[in-house]
Amino acid sequence: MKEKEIERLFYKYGERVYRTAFRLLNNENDAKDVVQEVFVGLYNNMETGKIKNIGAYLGSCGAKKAIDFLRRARRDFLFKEEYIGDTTAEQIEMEDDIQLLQNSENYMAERIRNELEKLPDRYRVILSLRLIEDYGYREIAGITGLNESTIRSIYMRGRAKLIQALKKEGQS
Amino acid sequence: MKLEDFIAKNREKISEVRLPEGFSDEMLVRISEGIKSKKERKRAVLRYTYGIAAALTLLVTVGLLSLPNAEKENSIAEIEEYYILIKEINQLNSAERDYAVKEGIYKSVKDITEEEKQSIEEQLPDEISEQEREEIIKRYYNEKNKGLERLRNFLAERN
Repeated sequence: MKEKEIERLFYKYGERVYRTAFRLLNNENDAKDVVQEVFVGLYNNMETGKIKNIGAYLGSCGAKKAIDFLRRARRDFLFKEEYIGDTTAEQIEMEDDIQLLQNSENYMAERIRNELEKLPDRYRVILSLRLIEDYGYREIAGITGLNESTIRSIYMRGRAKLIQALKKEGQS
Repeated sequence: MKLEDFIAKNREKISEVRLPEGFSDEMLVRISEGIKSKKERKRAVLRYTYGIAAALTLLVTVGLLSLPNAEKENSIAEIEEYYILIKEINQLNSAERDYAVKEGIYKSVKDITEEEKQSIEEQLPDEISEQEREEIIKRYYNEKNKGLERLRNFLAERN
């Protein structure tokens, strides 16, 4: 009975969990591992009946597990203090550069997706959670275990890097 | 246009991730295997826990039986019934498949059988007569036996 319910929920939310995990981990097999962990974990937590919004629960659960995965694998120094700091003037100036987004929307969307994938883990994770998953800074702090100011700092740096990459490609 | 505005407007296109071939089939098998292995681990832990609980119950029972006045005290039918009921409940509960029920029964038995720091026999003053002592002990175990009987009957009906 419970297995059937898990199957139903997988068909409804499984792809979404996979996509979130893939964006954060940038690796197909790792993302599949996360999906498995999330739904096996759900099987156990269903007994408690404490889950109110299953979609939101699975979304943040997938993101948390992906972050745990990065942490365990030590794939990047996401949690190192050196990333806490202000953005430089140059980066702030680049933030306001909107000329790159004058191409056709589809082309620009594809370029943003590709450039996001190329970013180092720490920037890709924070930018994906903020821009694609639409989480607020506080929620991202809850998911990653970092404080809000660190997240803002990483976000601003990552945003600047992303715009820089888009600009570079646009010029070439 | 700001980056955030553009992404908000085109989120669907930007968040597009191609699913691996046979994604759903593969994942359903993996999830099912994961659940199965989790269940097996849980069962192993339960077997271990209840094994220990059964051994402890046996030790307590044997310990009580070997107390100096045990022979006399156990001649009271209510005490004998008390230990028989515990044994029956343990047997029935070991066959119970629902983890929540199993745990509930285990806790209830623990609550009923948990001894005070001093046993009822030790708490009784020396001044009272043998007959009064026996009456108090009977009433004491009678109350416990009522609770144990309810648990035993509940499990017996399920099995």
